[in-house]
Amino acid sequence: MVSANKIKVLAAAAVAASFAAVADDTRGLLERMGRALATRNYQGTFVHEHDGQSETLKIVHRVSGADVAERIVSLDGSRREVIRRDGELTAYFPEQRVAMVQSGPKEGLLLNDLLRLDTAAAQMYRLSEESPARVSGRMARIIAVEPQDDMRYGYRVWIDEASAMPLKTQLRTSVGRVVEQLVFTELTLPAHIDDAALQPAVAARDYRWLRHATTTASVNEGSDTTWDATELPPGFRLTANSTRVLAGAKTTVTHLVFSDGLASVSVFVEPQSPLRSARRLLPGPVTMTNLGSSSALSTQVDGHRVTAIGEVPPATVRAIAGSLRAGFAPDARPERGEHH
Amino acid sequence: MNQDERASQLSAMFDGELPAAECELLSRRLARDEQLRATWSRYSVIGAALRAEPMAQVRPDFSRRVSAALAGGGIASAGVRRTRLLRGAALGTAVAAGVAGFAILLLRNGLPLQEEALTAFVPSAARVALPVVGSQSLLAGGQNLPSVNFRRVDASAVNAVNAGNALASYVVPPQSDDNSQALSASLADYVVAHSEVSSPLARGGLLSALVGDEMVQPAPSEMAREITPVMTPVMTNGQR
Repeated sequence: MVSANKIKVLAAAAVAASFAAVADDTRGLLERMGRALATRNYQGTFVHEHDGQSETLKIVHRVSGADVAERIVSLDGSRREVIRRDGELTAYFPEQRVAMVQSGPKEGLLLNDLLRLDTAAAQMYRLSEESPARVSGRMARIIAVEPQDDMRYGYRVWIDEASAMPLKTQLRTSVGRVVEQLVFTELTLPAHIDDAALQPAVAARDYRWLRHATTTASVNEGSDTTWDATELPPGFRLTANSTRVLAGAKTTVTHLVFSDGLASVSVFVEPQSPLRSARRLLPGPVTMTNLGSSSALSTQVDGHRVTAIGEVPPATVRAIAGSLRAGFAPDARPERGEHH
Repeated sequence: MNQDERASQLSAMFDGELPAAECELLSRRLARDEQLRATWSRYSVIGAALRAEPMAQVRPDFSRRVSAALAGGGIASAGVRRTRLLRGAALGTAVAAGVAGFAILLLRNGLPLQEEALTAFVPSAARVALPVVGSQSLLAGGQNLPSVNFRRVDASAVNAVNAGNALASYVVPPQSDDNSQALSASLADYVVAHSEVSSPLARGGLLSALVGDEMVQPAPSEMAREITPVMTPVMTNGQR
C-alpha cells in the first residue's frame, strides 16, 4: 500500500517535472532575465501603478563586479530618491529635508538579485507563455507565473527578447486582478554609467540625517528565544534566520524569512513589554498595512512585537505571523515539541 | 482623575472606544479645560498624521472657534458613533499611506505647542477630505459648527517653516514613562530589510513604493517610539 505521504511526494515530483518540461524555454528566459537584472547596467524611466495611482520614476542601475549601485528618483514633484550603494541605502525626502541612511550587510544587497524560481515554486505556481506583444515599441515575450491558490500573487512579465530585461511587470491576484504594474517607458543599457548619475539631485547637506546601522549577528545570538512557525500557508518554509541589531535600539530584532520559492515574507520579532496608558494612541493589537502591493502586519506574540512584511496577499502575512510561537534556545529548551 | 488619565480617555474617544456617557462628560470638560483642549488638538493632528491625511494647516483661530462651538454645548453621544463612522471611512481610503516623516520629525523635536498656530504637515496626496476626523465628528453633534478650513501647504512653505519659523508648532504626544510601546525599528527599516531578501520582481515595487507617495515614509526608528507607523486595523480580536 502506498502511503499518503508518498503519493504527495510523487504528485509533487510530477508537477515539478511537467513544470520543467513544459516551461524549459520559458524558464530559461526567466533565468536570463534574472541574470540581466543582476549583471547589467541599465537606466530608464518607468511608471509604477498601484491602487489607481501612478507615479513616474527614474532608475539608474550600475553593476561593476560585486558592487551594485542603484538610484530611484520620483519624477512627480516630490523629488524623493532612494540610492542603494556601498552597502547602504539612503532615502532623501526633500519635502521634509530629511535623509535616512540604512546600512546593512553589504552582501545582502546583492544576494537576491538572482531570480530564483526553484522546484519549491514549481508546486505553487504555473508557468506559461503568452503570445508576444509590444511594450514601449519593443517586442516582448510574455511570461505568466500563475499562483495555484490565493495565498500568493502571480506575475506577468513582458521580457525584451534581445536583452532579457523586463519591460513591464504585473503583480496579479490568483483571479487575475492586477495589483501593481511597472512599465518602462524608456530603457537603455549603457556599458558605462558615470558616478554622477548615482548622485542625489538634491543638495542634502543641510538635511537632517538619520542613520540606522544594521548588523546581522549570527543566528539568535544574544537571544534565548527561538521561533517556531507551526502552521505555515502551503508551500512556505523558513529560508533564513538572522538577528539584527538596529542602532539606538537596545534589543535585537530577529529576522525570519519564509518563502514559497518565489514570494517571500519577512518576519521581524522584537521583545516588547506590556503597553501602558499611551497605548490607546496605537491601533489595535493586530494592524494591517498596505505598502504598495506588499502587506505588512503587526501583532504581539508571547510578549514580542511581530511584524510580517511580504509581497503576498494580506491573508498570507496574517497566517504566517499567526503561526509564530516562541520557544527556548536549544540549550535552554527542556524538550523539543513542548512549545509550538 | 489626573491629566494623564484624561488624556488617555481622550485618546479612547478618538478611537471610538469611550462609552457615550463618559464621552459626553469629557466633552464638557474639554470646553473648560485648556490643557485638555491642547491635548485634544494634538491628538487630532497626530491622528491625521497617522492616517496620512492631506497636508493641512489648521487656521490660527481654529482652536478658539472650536472652543466657541464646544461652549455652545449640545455635544451628544451621537458624536461618538459618528467618530467611528468617519474614522472607518478615513482608514478605508488611506490604507496605502502612512506616517509622514516630517510629522514625526516635528513630533520628536518636541517644539512647544502654540495652540494658536497648530500646524500639521502630512505630505501625502490628498485622499481624505477630513484632515481632522476626530474634531469634525466631535463637532458634528454640536451647534454653531465652525467651518473648519484647511489649506494645502506647498513644499516651499513647509521648508520656510522648517527653516526656523516659529509657526512650526507641533507637539510630542504624552511621553510614556516606561517607553513600553517603543518600536526598536520602524516599518520603513523593516521594508528596507525585507527588500534585501525579496525577489527582484517584487523589490522594484517595494522600492518604488518607498520613493512614491503611497508608501509609509521612513519613520526613523528612534523617532517612532510614540507611534506605530501603521494605520489600518483590520482585525483586533480572534487572532491567534
